[in-house]
Amino acid sequence: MRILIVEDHAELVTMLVRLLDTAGYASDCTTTAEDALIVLSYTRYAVVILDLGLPDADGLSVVRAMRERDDRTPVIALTARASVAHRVTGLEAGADDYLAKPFAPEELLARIQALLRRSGTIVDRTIDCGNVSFDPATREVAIGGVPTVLSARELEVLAALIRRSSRVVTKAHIEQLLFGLADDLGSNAVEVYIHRLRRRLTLAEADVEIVTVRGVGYMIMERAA
Amino acid sequence: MTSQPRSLMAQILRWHAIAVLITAIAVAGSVYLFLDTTAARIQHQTLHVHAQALRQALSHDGTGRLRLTQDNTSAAVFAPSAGFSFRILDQRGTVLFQSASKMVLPTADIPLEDEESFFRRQSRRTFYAGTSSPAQVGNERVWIAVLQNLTHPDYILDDLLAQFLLYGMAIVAPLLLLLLAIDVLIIRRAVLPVRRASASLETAEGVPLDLRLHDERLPAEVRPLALAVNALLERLTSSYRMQRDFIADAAHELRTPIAVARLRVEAVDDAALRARLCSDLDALGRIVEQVLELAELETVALDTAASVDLVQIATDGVASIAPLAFRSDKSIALSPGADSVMVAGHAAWIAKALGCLLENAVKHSGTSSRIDVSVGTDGTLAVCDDGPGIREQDHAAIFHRFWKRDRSAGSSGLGLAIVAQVAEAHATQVTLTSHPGHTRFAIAFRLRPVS
Repeated sequence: MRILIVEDHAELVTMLVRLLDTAGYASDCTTTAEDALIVLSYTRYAVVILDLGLPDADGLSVVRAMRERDDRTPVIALTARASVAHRVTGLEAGADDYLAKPFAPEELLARIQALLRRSGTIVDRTIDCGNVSFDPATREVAIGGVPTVLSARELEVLAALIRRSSRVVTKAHIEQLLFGLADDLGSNAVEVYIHRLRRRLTLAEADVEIVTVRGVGYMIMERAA
Repeated sequence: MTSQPRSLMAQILRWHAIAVLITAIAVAGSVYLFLDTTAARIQHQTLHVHAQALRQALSHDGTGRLRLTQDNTSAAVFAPSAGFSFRILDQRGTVLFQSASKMVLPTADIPLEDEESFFRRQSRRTFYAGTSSPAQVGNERVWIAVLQNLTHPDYILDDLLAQFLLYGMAIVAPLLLLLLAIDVLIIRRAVLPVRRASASLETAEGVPLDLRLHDERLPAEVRPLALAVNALLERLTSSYRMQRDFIADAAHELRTPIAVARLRVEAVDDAALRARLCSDLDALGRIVEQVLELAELETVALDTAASVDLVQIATDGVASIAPLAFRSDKSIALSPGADSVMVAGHAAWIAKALGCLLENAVKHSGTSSRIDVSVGTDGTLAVCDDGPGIREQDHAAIFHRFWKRDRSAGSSGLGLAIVAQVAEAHATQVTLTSHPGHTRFAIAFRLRPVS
């Protein structure tokens, strides 16, 4: 799995190569927009890490050129000019994600992971949160290693939450998932299934909890020690 | 004098009115004077002619006595209705002859001089103009005095004069007012391009860098001012551009080295040191980010005209801070007043301001606190917490940049300054109410009705 780094700051490139190497990714580097487009035309990369402040052109022009020739390679835009307006234009130009300098290395790795997962380049065997694991392929749930059977709707809610563990899933999103299964649900359907799911998790001695963010949605996170 | 701006119109009108009034008085005065002298001359002539007629009618009879022969030519003088009366006196002031209409003037009042003299007298309510001229009849010296009753209905000169003044004023006054009205129109017309130019500056929104005053119809007197304003705008524009470029460059030059350092830290073996360095660099990165955001807010005019959904912004804001809040053992909730509340604003910056308020609430509200975000249907976005509160004396200072209650706290002290700036860019402000157990930051945005 190769990653292309398009960045003109030599030291940052060295650091990025080292970081990606440690994480198990091979990487190539170019320092100009022109080189990047040439390299991209004959090599397929899993992800492109693209600095927006290149010496010869605006990094966004690279993204545009890629999209124009139907190159769908995921792009993470790196920028030092993290003005609020830039983020919007970056995403509009076709970048898949956007990271402002400076960034935490683990954040970059997480974004790469997410993009790879989204583009189908890697398929997780299971998604874990605490001692709860969910296998997206088989849709099996195990709590503390013990397979647990959930109803279709409970499973749908848990899957949505665990895919975004430690982040908020909006109530509207969960509602949509449930309505996809049946449309004879009451107005408090989400609360009902969250309640059931909580009871299941407690009974199975899961070390995670579903937190209510009132007015917004729910979030599954590991219970504090 | 006063600091109140003086209106050009008022000044011109005032001075013009004064000038017109002085001219009117001067013209009326001199015309009156001219008419008055003319009238006096005519009067003297009339009296003189009458006196001459009387002199012609005087003659000696054979006995050495004086005789007055009345003929047709001097009939007017002797008709009692004409308002004339006469008296012929000798040297001692004895009345030799007098008119049928009795002269009211006492004889002593008639001057007996060597030359013909004219006089005016008043007796009771009657005004008289008179002449007294010496005449030699034979070897006898007599004085012929003719008196005209000026209040007599047949005398019209004085009436004419009075009428002239009255009607003259009646004609001049409306003309004067008309002149002033025309003044107003002229000034209005002349000032119109200036008003238009002012309006073009006033209605310009945000920081329009290409705005210049260029109304070709600006009066020549005002054009130097317009040129000076344009030159100033030019200088401001270039300094604005320089500052904006500087911020962009500074952002780049500061962020990249921190990014390098942040990656380099990963190679540090000592885990504790690595963690410390990471947190230091993260704090540094955060300060740089907020300093640049603040600089951007202060130099780049925000376009706050878009329709944005406060509920959507609040939902995203609460969702993104929720993990941190719950990890810090706090709870957070959103109370939207409606499914959506549309306001006029800049979505990304409102989100940034809300983020700063939420971060502030999470950091300073104490453990196990509750944070509540509300969106009112009136366009108010508020963040409340039940923490220890903010001391009254800090309420103003808290929005100053780099202000911190606790110097060692891991915050940049810029978050609330950013919130205040975002509010200001939206032509509103942050309202802070706080007492122990309840702190509320609120920003009232302008509602944007859905069309």
